[in-house]
Amino acid sequence: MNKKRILIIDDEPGITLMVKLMLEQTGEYEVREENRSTEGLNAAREFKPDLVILDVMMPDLDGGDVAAQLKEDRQLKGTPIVYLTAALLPGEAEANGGMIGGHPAIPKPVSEEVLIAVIQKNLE
Amino acid sequence: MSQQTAALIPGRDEGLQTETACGTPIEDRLLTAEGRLFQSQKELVAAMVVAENSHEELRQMQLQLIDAERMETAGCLGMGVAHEIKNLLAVLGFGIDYLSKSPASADPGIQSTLNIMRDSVKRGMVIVRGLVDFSAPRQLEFKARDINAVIESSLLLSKHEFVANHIVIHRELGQGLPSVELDDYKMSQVFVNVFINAAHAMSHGGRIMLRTYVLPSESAKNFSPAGGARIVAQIDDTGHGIPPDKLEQVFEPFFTTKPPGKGNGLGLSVVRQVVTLHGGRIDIRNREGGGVSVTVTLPERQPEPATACELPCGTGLHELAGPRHSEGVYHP
Repeated sequence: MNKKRILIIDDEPGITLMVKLMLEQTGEYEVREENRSTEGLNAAREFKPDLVILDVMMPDLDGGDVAAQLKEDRQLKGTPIVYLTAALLPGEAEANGGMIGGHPAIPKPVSEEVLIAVIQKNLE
Repeated sequence: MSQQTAALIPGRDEGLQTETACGTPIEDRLLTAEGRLFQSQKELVAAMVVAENSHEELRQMQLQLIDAERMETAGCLGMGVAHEIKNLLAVLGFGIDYLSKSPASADPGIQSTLNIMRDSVKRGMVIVRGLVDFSAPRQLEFKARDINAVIESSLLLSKHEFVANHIVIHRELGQGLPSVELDDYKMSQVFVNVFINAAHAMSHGGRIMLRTYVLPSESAKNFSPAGGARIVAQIDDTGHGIPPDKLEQVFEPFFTTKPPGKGNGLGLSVVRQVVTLHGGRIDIRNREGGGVSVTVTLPERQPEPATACELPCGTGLHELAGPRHSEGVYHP
């Protein structure tokens, strides 16, 4: 079975490492982690992920900018994006149907179970 | 003529003797002058009282401004701290989930350690939510509401605390009160917070007395820039009260008199922020017979525009909605 490729871009190395370990533990995913959004964009072009997990508030380019650049890339514009963010206020994602900027948004912290469920849903 | 007045007119005694010697009706003129002097003294005293009051009002306003600025700074700081803590809690949470699947987690000691860590992450999130509530920008949606109905729904939300602590509720809710323009979700948060504080202060049982009424117009006239009445909700309890030297601090963020695990000290600071955003005020004092009395005074109407109001500090997500983000991550 082909493993699904997941790219996670988050400036918090602990988050990217834990997500990588958790997802790869399932045996269903190949995960690449990046902690700088500019490098994350380069990684996306090279790695061609099936799904991108994206932080919102990052020091160089924020999640909105990264998503916009992915959308402009001919090969990546259809790649599903899931925001994983600490910037959401309680109830904000729910108020927008669980979406921000047209992409699913998960507030941090979140359980592994919920994260994997959202990833699976958006890979379908 | 009083000695005081005589002392205020230098040489008065000598003059009187001189004039009397010349046979001039000086006494009448002196009496008139004395009367004028008394009048001037009275006016001076009244003016001094007014000046003193104005000075005190000015001092209070300056203190309020300093306080507001301090709270705004604390709010902005709080949002930043909340963001960082959420990231750390996410790492810990993922770590716990990951370790829970390892074979070593079958060990009872490791299992209970992981459970304790999981509970700690949850408690951390409760604190973060409190911080966010205190700091976050919030659109308040003002609608005309019956304050008694808001209190009743808040009582329902706090019911489990009343049952657990054997609390009896007495109501003296005013009938036919004017509707109040308020955000009922946020105002419920205010009342629930006050009710829970009261319940925690009466862990062996007690009473909560609720009153709502219209503030007499004489008392209200200084507080209603938008006109209309001021409506008061008074919540008295029979608990242990607040140490007098701590009363000044109860609205400070992270100040609490509760034992560890019972409160994070953010409740009343959030409560005051919400009430202030409604153009109201909240006062807390100890009752003479024991317990605490909380009064929430709200204006009947909000100043125009009466639709929304926002707390001052940005979250970052709002900033993302700015023009440089063609993706438009967030549209509040």
